[in-house]
Amino acid sequence: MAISLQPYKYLVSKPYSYSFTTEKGFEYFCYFTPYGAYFLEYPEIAPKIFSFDIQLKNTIIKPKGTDKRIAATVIDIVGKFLNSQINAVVYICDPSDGKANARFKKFKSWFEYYTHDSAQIVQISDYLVTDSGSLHAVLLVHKKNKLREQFIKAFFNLTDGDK
Amino acid sequence: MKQLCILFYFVLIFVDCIKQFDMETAIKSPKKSTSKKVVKAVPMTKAEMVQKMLYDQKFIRDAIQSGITFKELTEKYGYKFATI
Repeated sequence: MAISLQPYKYLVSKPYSYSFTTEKGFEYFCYFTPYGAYFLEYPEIAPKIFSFDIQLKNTIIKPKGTDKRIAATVIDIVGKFLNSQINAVVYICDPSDGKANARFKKFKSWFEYYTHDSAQIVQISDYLVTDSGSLHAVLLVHKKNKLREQFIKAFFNLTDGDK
Repeated sequence: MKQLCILFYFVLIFVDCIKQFDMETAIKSPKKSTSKKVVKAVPMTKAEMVQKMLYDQKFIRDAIQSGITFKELTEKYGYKFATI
């Protein structure tokens, strides 16, 4: 990995969140929240499913351009979270600001283009059906996770909608 | 006086019998529970689940933007977070 793609140093505020500040001074929070309540049909894996979100701390000035080190940092955080080969992560692209599509493309690309830890991660994307349309959702699970097939099955069951 | 004593004796026996009867009744038919009926939670549909996921996601994002800490989100609002 090139030096320019080194992840930012991040702080872990146990047991809540991760945070890092970019070269340009923008502060980001990353956090995982338990999603077990949505996978009750799968009691074996439910406690091991988490959602992931990344959020820019409130600022008046919004960052411009692409900072590839943010991607490297997110991959590092999520990669380490999955390296235990126990957990799986679901990322739902927030549609509230109308940027869900862009968010999905960016997040998906992060785990496709880089060749470090993320190569060990299986990424599956699908749509979640809502009353107002469909949303992008991504499942991330370690390739060596013994319950990988169950996570994938549960994820597709969620995205299948009501039948 | 003697008659009064006999009467008092019978009253005592009568009271004792009533007590005994009450005990048996209490043992044989325990009081009915006054607690409310347990209503089974109806499982959410998938569409409702997704709505809740989005609601929670937005709530947490808005809370963080408005300066609420993760600790407060946990202690006041019951959200949970995880790190390694």
